[in-house]
Amino acid sequence: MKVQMQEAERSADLTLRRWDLGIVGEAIDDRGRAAIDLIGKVADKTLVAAYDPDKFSISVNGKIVNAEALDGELQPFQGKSLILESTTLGFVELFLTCRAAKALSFPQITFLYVEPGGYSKGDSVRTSNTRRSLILHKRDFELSDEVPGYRAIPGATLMLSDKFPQRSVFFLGYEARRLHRALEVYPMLRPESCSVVFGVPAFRPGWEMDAFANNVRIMKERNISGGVYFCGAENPASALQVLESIHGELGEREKLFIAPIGTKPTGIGTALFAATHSNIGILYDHPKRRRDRSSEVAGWHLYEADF
Amino acid sequence: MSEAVRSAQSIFAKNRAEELGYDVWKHFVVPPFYQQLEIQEATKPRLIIGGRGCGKTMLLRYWSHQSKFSVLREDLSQPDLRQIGLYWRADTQFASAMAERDVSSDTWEAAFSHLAALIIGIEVLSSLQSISANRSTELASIKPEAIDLRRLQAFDSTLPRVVSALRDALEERLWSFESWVNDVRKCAEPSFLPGKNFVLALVQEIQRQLPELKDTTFFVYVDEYENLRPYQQRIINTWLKHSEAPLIFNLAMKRNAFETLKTTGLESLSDIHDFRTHDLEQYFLIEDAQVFFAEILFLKLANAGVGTSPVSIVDLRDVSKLPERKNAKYKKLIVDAIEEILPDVSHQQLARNVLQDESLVKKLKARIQSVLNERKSQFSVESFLRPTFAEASIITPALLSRSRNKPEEIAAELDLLEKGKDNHFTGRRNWIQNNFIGSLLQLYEPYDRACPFYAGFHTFIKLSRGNVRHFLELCHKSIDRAFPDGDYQAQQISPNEQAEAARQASADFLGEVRSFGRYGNRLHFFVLGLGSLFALAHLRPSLGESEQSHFSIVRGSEALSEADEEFLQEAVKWSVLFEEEATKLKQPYEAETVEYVLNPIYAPYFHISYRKKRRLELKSEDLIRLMRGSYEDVSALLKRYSREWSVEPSSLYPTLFSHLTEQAP
Amino acid sequence: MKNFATDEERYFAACVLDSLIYRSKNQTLALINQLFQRSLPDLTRRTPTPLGHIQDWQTRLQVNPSKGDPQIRLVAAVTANHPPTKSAYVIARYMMQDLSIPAQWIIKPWEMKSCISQGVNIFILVDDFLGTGDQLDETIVIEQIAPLFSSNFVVYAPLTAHTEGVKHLRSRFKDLHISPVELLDETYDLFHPDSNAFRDQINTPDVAKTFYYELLKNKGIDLSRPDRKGYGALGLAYAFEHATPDNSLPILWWRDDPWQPLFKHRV
Repeated sequence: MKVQMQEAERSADLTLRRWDLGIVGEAIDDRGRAAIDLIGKVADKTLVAAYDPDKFSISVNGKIVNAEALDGELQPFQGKSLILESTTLGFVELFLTCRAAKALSFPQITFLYVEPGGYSKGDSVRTSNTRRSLILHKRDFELSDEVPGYRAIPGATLMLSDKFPQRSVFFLGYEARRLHRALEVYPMLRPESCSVVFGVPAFRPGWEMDAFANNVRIMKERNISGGVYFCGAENPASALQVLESIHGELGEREKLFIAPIGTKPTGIGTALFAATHSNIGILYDHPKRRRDRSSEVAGWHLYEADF
Repeated sequence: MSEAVRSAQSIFAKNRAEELGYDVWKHFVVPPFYQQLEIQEATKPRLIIGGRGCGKTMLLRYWSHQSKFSVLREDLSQPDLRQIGLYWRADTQFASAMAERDVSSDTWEAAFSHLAALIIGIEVLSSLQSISANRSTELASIKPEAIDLRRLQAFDSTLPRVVSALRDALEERLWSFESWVNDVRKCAEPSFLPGKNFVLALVQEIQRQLPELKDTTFFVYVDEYENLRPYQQRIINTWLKHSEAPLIFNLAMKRNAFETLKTTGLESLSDIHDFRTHDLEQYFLIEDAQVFFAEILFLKLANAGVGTSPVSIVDLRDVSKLPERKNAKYKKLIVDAIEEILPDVSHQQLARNVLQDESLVKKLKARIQSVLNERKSQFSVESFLRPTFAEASIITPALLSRSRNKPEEIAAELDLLEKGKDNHFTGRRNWIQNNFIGSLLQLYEPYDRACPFYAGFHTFIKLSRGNVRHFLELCHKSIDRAFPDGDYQAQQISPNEQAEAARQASADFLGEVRSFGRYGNRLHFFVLGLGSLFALAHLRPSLGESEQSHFSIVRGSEALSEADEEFLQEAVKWSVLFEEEATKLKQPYEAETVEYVLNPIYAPYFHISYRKKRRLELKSEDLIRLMRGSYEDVSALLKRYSREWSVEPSSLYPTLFSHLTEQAP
Repeated sequence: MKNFATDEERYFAACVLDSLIYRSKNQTLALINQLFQRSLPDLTRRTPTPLGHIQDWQTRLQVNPSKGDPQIRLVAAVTANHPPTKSAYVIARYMMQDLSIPAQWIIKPWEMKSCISQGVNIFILVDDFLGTGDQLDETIVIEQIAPLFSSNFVVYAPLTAHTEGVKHLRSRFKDLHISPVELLDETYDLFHPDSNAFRDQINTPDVAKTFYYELLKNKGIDLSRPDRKGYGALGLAYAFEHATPDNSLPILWWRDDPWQPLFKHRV
């Protein structure tokens, strides 16, 4: 799959065109609002989508639809151009839309992503083993969001059992708890066939070191030994590359499980991959988007994927 | 690296039952309460309750056919065939997808029943294969491949008749089923097998053709029952209700899940009158767990080829040897052996350590001097620092801080102590007993080294509080620290190394709180705040209330909301807090109250006591701040208490309380 | 860590290690990927090459010489005097071996003129690290390639660059495009006032710096005053698996006895 990528400091510097349909999520901060505004300017029609992990349903402009019947809503736009606002849309909305678009033979999907800014180097949190691990960072206290937890996603639900061959891939961010929680919720995950992917380069140089330091303890403790991979934190094409290479190594009957719990762009890569391959299980914890303390913008990204 | 590097890593490589695979026979130590589980006479469904780290999964895997008929066991006989365990831990994520999605609930019910039939059916057939693979002579006559299961074709005419082929066929159907669940709209609905009836028919047919199994009962253990959807639980409940030989269903779940189901569900367990409950955590509390934990460690060491075990490892796995393992002589042998490896430090020795350490003595002298200056006393430091009476000397700063004690009185009591006469230090007033640990912790407080108070086998037992995993992790880290390059041969580990290991393990376990369920982050924040508060309490110069590591709630200006109560229960569910009945009422007219004990595994991190001594009476509004206040709220609360308790910011462990000094007051 | 004797020295070392940014070979490959997938495409989108906006760099460069010519050359940023261990060569080798780019498309600066005569106008100077820019400046001057910048599309693409170096090169060579994958600024100096490397409520960056200079003296690490914080006084803690830039603190790469280097020094 070909993915063309652009980046610019201001939205005006992106090379844009017009799209027939734009899909956005709910805006909860300035960054989201700016992104939705842009979609409004470049798309002829905009739909708002939100997934309900408990009911397996998705609401499209308020109308509640069975998540697996999303292609019905997109049918009128078959063959037209589509842009997804991935800053405000969650991973599941992205995946379901990609799947529906593929089923309806859309030739291409475009994704808009607004990278969060406003962080200084001092905001990174690393809980390594030096004395500084005892320091309570202010940022620690601000992560008080609620995470409903790992729930099945229709269309990407496979049986996970340690009796049958499996391979798992975790895209990781700087927080170790999401990996940890996955390992608690899925004790059938076999560590020897569990791989992790870190974002390198990260959004800011040095942040990947925090991700390593935070996650390495749990990786060591659980003997996660399926290999460490790297892909650009804001580069869905490289995420796709990693997944393709792992997929190519799968044995007969070996099932692939992907956990897109890292950056949103790696989630985009995962959504595209899962939408275009069969027999993929997704492990996802549906975090509630919290109002970001920093709603500043560090950059605008546009990704165009050809199916 | 030498061929046999017995590093901590290799000894403890697999601490979790899941990592050991399904044949756990080699790793299983028969627990002291095993007989109460009534395996032999089990005719009713059983309900096994246990939280994390208490060995529930290990037990269930031990009962499963893979362990029961492990290839490592070559002395099995016909009676061993009477109970065959089939362990089913449902992939609850997958099971949760079997709902809604424009599919009728009738269809989902039939589908779940079909899933059970496939999975349990596969297990039944696998158990025959386990028996077949076992090399015990008495079992050699059993030939599963000779069975003809054509009668099962009544359910589905395409089912093969031979055991191995049937098993493969059931697996194929499992994958088709999975595809259908994954995409109900596109895939064809499979024809469903009728759950329990299918399994029962299979079992009965096997018994008919294999006479050795005619008295066998198959026990299905459904683990993580609480994570199934209500309609799925209802289906299993009906199977449970009418369970009888040769197929009996049993459940396993976490304690809090049991509590929830008892109270909330109409469709829940209250329907089932006929089951026996086994609460593993309760059994641990009643039986003396420490010997058991020590035995597990010795087994791990033996399995890794480290050192020589003080007892027969074979006996640890033998149920018939259980009575011997409970006699006093045996217990003493085990405890003596493990005390060799993980020595505790007596209070006297802790005190002597202080006086032998230059910087600690300096600190002690400085404290005494400082209090004397405050009280404008003419006494010298030497009056209170008596080299041969270390414990007494160490508590003098606290005693001197109390306005009701006069320096000359304290000095006089020290004199009495020296002369061997009745005195307040060792007499009825129990000065040493009440204040020593508190004072010791204060001395070590900003010190770089971990306090040996956190070292020792008996200490580790207290820190882990019935959680095997916690105990093993403490041992793991201790060995790792003391022998980082490997080649551990069961030598003694110094208290200092143990204490450092405890601190590290404590920090790690604290970090894990973030992953505890949907409120993980908030729980973590809560523990940090509460632990910091206890740490502050431990720093009070006068030690008026010593070693406060638990609290009770005092009604204040704000009442706890329902959500607050829920959060508190969440903390209990994850064993962050333990709920206990109040041990001592402060005022005779107070109603009985609940005490919340912070899990002692976090004590080393916060440098607080792991003993249950004095209670902190926490006002409800303060508790609310800790549970759901903002960062600023908690900072303000801690600052307020530090003022109230006369704890100087400069004497605080700087890194822990950095947030207090970061902001301008 | 055996270099550090006292508790204080060990704590200092631990803080440095805590702030260290280390790139293993696989991470270096990830940076190279990023260069071809993002940095160069974006550069050429904003500033088109003679071939316009190029998006598929890797596919182009992987073309077999018997089948065609990508009309692009990768140029190892070296002089004729540099040994084969020079880190730009290492990066070029990675591109060849791990990205399957035929060796014919990877050239040296002195081969640029002949490529131009064959009709190639797009050149990417590859390198691992740009510090102050002094080294590249020298290379450009020695190999006399500056005159080629105005009439060709020449990009200097170090995987990691410091803003100091970018500034320097921009002012010296106006027609040279600069496209690093990662950018470091002055806040990555461990002793910068805003640095968190030594922020523990007790120490400050200044205190740490003084301690550090004493440490250098005591350990016999003999450097001229400006270079004590690494060449160009950039004060970095950055290292690749294949080499450590000398803009990083010397304690990370100093080789003279009795000091044991933690990392390989960058040539």
